[in-house]
Amino acid sequence: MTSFERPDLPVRFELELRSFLEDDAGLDRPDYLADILVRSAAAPQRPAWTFPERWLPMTAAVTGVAGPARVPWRAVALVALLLVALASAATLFVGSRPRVPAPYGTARNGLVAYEKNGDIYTTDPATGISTAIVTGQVVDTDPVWSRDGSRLAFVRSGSGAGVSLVVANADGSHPVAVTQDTVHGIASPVFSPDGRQILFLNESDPTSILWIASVDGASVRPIDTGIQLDHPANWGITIDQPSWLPPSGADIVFAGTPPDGAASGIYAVDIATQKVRAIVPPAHGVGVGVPAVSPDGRWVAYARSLASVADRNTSHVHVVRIDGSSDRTLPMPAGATFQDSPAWSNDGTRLVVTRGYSTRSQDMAIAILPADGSGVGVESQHGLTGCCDTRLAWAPADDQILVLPEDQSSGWTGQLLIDSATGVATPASWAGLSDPAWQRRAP
Amino acid sequence: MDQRALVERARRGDHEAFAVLAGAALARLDAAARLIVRDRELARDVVQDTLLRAWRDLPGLRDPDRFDAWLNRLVTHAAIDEARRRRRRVVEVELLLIDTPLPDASVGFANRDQIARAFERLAPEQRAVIVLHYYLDMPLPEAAASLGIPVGTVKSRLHRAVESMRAAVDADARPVQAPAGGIGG
Repeated sequence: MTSFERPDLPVRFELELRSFLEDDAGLDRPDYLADILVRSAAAPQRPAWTFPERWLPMTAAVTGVAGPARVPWRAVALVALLLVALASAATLFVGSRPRVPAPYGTARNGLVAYEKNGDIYTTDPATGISTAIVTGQVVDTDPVWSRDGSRLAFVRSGSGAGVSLVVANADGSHPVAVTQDTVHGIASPVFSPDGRQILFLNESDPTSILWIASVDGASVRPIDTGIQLDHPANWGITIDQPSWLPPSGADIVFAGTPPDGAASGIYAVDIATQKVRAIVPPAHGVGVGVPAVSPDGRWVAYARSLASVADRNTSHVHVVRIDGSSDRTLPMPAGATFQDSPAWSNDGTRLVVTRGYSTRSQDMAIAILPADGSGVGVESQHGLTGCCDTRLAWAPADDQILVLPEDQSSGWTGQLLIDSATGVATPASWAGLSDPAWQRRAP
Repeated sequence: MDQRALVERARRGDHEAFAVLAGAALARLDAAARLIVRDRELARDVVQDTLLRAWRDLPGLRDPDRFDAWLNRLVTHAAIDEARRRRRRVVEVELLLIDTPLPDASVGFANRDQIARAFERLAPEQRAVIVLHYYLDMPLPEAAASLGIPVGTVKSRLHRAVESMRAAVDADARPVQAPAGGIGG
């Protein structure tokens, strides 16, 4: 029996954890208050009118910040009538199968899925009508759509049996737990191109954190990336942002750090052979991360920074062929200091990135620029987000970008929609605080 | 003078009032930042930037009674930012002493070093939620407000973080194997 099988351990572990935090924090009295006061005395305060709610339309600001929106009953009735009419029309097509979009390329915009208070909701961005589709006492989070938009996966916890990955129909019906009790920490679930498997990070597995589950629950297995995480020399290694390599999904692309710990790199692992190859090899003094693969599977966009510079963000967005050749840096406008967190449009021609105009995350914008490096593109107003954890997802039709801002201390408290042609941002009408997840539908 | 009055004065540009507020919060912010970023110097940078930003943005704080929660939120976000940047720049891997006698997992609870290593392995967001809840003693709804995420997400993140730590401590108690093959060549 290990110590963790003892029934009294959870409480004891929390006590140990509290005690560790108290000891580790110590009783130091920081000695740099004077420095702070010298700097702040020299810095002007921002006038109150410069804060976002002063330049956003009040209705938009209130919609994005406050609780549930008013129910537009007329619209609901019209939509209901429309749905009845559509349902009647659908019965005429007995035997026909639902059309689904191709796994990659542009598609029609469907529903946005999000989590609120441990339940899963979907909303139609066109009408703003939200529906709770998965509710209950358990905590359901992190919804993601399958590439054809027919299914949802989400992470379930709080049921007394650890954490499980659950797959359900698009309307939340027929939920099936697809992971076993041995999997306890689940993050970054993503459906395979054919929708039959889900890749996820098993954060509690000390030997391999890339895992694949079949959506019918028949199998759950680790992928060997060559990183033996149960060896002390490898503690601290991270695998970030894994994704299936389009179009087949035969490989998985991820950012990781090799066992010698020298620097991070971007890799692909062949699922069948579990052979690993470097797309962007690790280089001394260079940090790379947040890889995003183009929809045609030919290019990888990623962020590259200088490890030796600690006092400012030096990240640039690069695009490189999947074989590691033709690495190029995307341009920035005058005054910009860094770019980060790229995400490809569905047609593969543009990238959305976070763009900084200061040393760190004080003055950020979201920019949409051509992937071939031919220009600096358009960008949103500044101050929408912070640096390193902004989540960006293109609408299936590529007309908008759904954003979960990282730094919400400036007044933004939910998802944003950005017009991909103009860069103009507006608060979403729904109270979504989870990663962006937009359903693809057949054109 | 109570804190609310100090905040209102500082919001109107009274730097001496801000100095009192900053002095009262400094130790707490410094400890929280150190726990999240795991580096004393970086934590100092984080706290300096946080308080500088707090001074600059104070006129935008609508509710003076939320000053402490607002500062906690600023420092938590800044620390997560810094920890993520640091992790991406270079992951410094510490070679630990493999010859260290292995603990007997069957007889006792996790020791301090095991917990420290498990805590280091967490993602910055997971460390942040643990610091807010277990160190700053925030109820989950307040931690959620500080992080700008739903309560349900805080619950699941906290659950995952503690489970991950338990798994890591458990792995720590097992015999180690030599690393083999893989991307490190």
